Amino acid sequence: MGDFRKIFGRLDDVIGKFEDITVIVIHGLIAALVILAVVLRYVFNNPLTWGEELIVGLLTWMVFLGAAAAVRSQMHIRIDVMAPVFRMPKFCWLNTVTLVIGIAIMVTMIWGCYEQVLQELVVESPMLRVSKAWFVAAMPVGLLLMLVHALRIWMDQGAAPVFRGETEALVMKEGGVQ
Amino acid sequence: MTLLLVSFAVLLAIGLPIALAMMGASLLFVGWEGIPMSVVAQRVVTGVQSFPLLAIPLFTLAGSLMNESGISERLFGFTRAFVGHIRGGMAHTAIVGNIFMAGISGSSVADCAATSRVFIPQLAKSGYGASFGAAVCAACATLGPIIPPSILMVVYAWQANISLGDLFWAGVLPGLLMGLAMLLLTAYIAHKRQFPKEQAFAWSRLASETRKAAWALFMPVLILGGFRLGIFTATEIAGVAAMYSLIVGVVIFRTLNWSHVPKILLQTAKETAVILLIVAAASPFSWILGIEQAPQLLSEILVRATDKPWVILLMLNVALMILGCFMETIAIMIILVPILIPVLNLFHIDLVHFGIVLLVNLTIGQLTPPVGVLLFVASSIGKVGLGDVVREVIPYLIVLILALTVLTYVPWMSLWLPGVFK
Repeated sequence: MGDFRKIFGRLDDVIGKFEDITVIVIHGLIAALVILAVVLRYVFNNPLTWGEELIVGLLTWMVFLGAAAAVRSQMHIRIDVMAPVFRMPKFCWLNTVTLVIGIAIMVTMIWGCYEQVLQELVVESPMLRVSKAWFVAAMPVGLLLMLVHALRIWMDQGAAPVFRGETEALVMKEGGVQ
Repeated sequence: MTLLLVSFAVLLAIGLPIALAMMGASLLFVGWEGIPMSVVAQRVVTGVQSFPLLAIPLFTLAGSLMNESGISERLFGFTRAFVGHIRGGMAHTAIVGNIFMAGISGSSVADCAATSRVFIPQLAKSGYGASFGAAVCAACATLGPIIPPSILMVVYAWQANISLGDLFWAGVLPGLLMGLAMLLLTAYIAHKRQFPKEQAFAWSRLASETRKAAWALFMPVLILGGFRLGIFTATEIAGVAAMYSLIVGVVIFRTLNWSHVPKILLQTAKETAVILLIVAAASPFSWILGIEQAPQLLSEILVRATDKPWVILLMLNVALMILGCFMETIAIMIILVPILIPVLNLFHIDLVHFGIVLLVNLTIGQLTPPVGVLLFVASSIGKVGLGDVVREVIPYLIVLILALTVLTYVPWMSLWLPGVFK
C-alpha cells in the first residue's frame, strides 16, 4: 500500500506539473490572441475570423484544467458555514461521506461527457473546421484530473482537506478561527 | 423542482464545492426524469463556451499584474498624502486606498487580504486597535465588486444580457457613496476615540505621490474610457488592460520580472476556472429551473403579494440580505439572477439598477457572519478574535445598509453615469 501511495503520489506530481505548464501556456495564448485580434481589427482593419472560435476553445480547456489545478491548491468555493462542525471529532466521518459523493458525481459526469464527446466527433466547428470533440474533451479530461488529485489528497492527508475552500485554507494558514 | 433544490441544498450543506453540488443535483434530476446524462454534460460545457466571459480571466490578470508590480504601496502612499492629515488618517487612508484598489482589482477577498496585511499591524501599533483595523479593512473591501472593473459585474451582465459598459459606469457613484459613508463614520469614530493624526498635509508630497501612482490611477480611466468609445468589446478592453498592466509593471515601474509572469498566469487561470466552473455547472441547473417554470412561479407569487416595484425591491433586499449571511456571493448570483430577470422585467425594474442593488447586497453579505468571508480573512490576518471584529464592524454594516437603501430607492445614483456616457 505504501509503495502504491508513493507511485500514485509521484504520478500525481508529474500530472500536476504538466497541468500547470499547460494552463500557463493556454492563458498566455488567450491573452496574446485577444491583443492580436484587437491590433488586427482596429489597426489593420483585418479581423481574425477564426480567432474567436480558437480563443473560446482555449478558454474551455483552461477552465477545466484550471479547475483540476485548483483542487491541488484548495481553491474551490464551497459554503463553509458547516466547516467547524466537520472539524469536530464526532462528525469527522462526514468528510468521507462528502468526498465519496463528490467522487460519484465526478465519475457520473465523466461518463456523461464521454457520450457527449462521441456525439461531437462528427460535428465540425464552423471556422476552424476541426471536430468539436476537441473542445468538448476538455471537460472529461479536467474532471478525470480533478478525481486523481482528490484521491491523492485523500490518501496523503485524509478526506477533510480535499474540498477545502480558499478562505478556509487562508484562515487555517493564518491560524485564525472560523 | 423540489428534488433539484433539496438535493442541491443537502450537497451544499455537507461541504461539496458549489460547482459539484450543482452538477450532482442536476444529475439526480435528469436521472429521476429519465433524461440522458449527456444532456447535463452538454449544458455544462456549452455554459463556459462564451466570448464575453473571457473578460473574467483578462481583468483578473490585469489586476494581478498590477498587484505584483507593488501597486498597493504606491496607491496607499498617494492616499496617505491625500487624507493622512485628518484625525484617524490611517483608517481613512485604508478606505480611500481601497476605492482606488477597487478600480484595479476585481475581487473583494484579494483587496481585503492586501489591505489587511498592510494596515492592521500599522493601525494596531498606532493605537487604533487591531480589531478596529480588521473591521475597517474588511468593510472597505466591499468596494471591490462595486467599483469597476468587477468580476461579479461581468457575470451579472452576461446573465442579464445587458451592456457591461453600462454596468461598470453604474458602479462608480454607488462605490463612491459607500466609500464616503464609511469615511464619515470613521471620522466620527476617530473623533470620539481621539485617534491620532498622521503627517501634516503638504501639496509637494501629494504631487510627488500622485506622480508615483499615476500609471495605476490611469487604469480605471483606460477601462471606462474604452467602454465610452463604444467600439471595443468588454473582452478586448480587458485584454488591453492586461497588456497595459504588463507594460507598466515590466517597463515603467520595473518591479515586475518576466519570471513572475508564469506564476501570475497560473494563479489567475485557477481563480478564473473556479468561478467559470460554477457558471458552467449552473447552466443545466438553470435549464431545469426553466423547464420546471421556476421564474413564472416566483412571478406569480410576487404579483399576488404586491403590484408595487418598491415593495418588490424591499422584499428582494431582505431576501438577499438573509441569503448573503449563509451563502457565497457567486452562488447566490448564479442561481437567482436567471429566476429574477422575468420578475424584474414584469415590474419594469431596470436591470442595470438592480445589478448594483444586488452587488451591494452580496458584498454586505460578505461582512455578515456566519459566512462573512471578509471577516474571516481580516480577523485571521490581523490575528484578532472574530467576535471582536464583528463588534467593530457593526457600525460599518449599518452605514452600508443605509447606503444600500439610498441606492435601491434612488435609481438615478446608478443610472445617471451610464446615461451620460452612452
